[in-house]
Amino acid sequence: MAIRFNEFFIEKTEFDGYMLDLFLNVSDQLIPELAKSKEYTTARDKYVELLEQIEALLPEDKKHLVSELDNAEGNVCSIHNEGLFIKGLQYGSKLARVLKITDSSKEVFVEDEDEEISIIAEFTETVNDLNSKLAEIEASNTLTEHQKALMKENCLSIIRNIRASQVQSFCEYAVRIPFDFGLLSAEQRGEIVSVMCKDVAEITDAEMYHIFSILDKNENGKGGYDGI
Amino acid sequence: MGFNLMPMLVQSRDEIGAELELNEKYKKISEEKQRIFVEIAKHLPEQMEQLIYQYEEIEAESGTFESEALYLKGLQHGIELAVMLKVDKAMFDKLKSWGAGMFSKSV
Repeated sequence: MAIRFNEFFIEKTEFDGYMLDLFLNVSDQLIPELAKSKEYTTARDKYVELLEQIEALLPEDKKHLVSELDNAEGNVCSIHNEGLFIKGLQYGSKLARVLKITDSSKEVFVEDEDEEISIIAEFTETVNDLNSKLAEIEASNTLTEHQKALMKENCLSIIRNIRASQVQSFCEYAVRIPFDFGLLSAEQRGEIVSVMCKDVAEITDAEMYHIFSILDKNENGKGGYDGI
Repeated sequence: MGFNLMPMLVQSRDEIGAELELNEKYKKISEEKQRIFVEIAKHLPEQMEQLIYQYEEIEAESGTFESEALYLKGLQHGIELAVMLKVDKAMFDKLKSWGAGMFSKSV
C-alpha cells in the first residue's frame, strides 16, 4: 500500500530512490492541505462512520472483512494515485518545456506577483495601441484593400499572441497553487473554468484581472508556494 | 466532489485507467477488493445493504480529492523539476517513458 490520506499515514509505495523521496515529501505536504478542506474531511468522516456502521451490522466472525476492505481499497487507490502523480509530473515538465519556463521566467511568474501584474498591464497597453492601429488602417484612404487586409491580419495576430501569453501566465500562476483551487467556491471555480475555456483572443482584460484577483485572494488566505 | 478544473486531469485519469488495465498487480488487488465487497454485502441485513453502496460512493468522493491533489502536486513538481534540470525534449521523452514503464508493466 502506498498512501492512505484517510488514516494520515504512509506505508510503502511502488516508487524508490528519488521518486520515493519526492512522493513521500509530496504526501507529507498534502496531508495538512487536505485536512484544511471541509468537503474532504466531511467525506472522510462519513467514510469512517459508514465503515463503523457496517462493522456493527456484520456477524462476529465476518467483522474482519471491514478492515480487509479498507486495506484493499487503499491498495487500489494507491496505485491509481501514484499513476496520476507521475502523469502530473510528466505534464508539468512538458508544460515547462512548451511554455519555455526558465529560472528567470519562474521568478517573474512565481516569486514576483507585482511584476507579473505589470507585465499584464504592459500587454494590455500594447493591445490598446494595436486596436488604435487597426482603426487607423481601416480609415486609411491611401492603402489598398489588400494591404489593409494584410496589416489588419498582422495586428490581429499580435493581439492573439499577447492574449495567448496572458493565458500562459495564468496557467503558470495556476499550477503553482494547485490545491488551493480545491478550496475555491464552486462559483469561483466556474468563473475560472469559463475563462479558461474561451478562445484566447476573446478573453477580455477585465476577465484576466478578475481571475488573477480570485487567485490572489485565495493564495493570500492559504499561504504561498512550497514546492521542492 | 472535487473540482474538475483541467481537461488534462480528466485525460490523465483515462490514460491511467487504460494503463492499469494491463497491470496484473492492479487487476489482482481490484478483484480482491471486489470479492471482499461482495462478501460484506452478502452478510449485511437486507434492509441495510445500501450502506455498502454508500460506502463505495463516499470512498470515490474522498478519493477524488486525493487523486486530484496528487496529480496537481505532480504537475507542480514536474515544472520545478523541468526548470531545475533544464529539461529538453530528449529528457522529457525519457521522463515520459519512465512513467509509462512503471505503470504498464505486468507485475
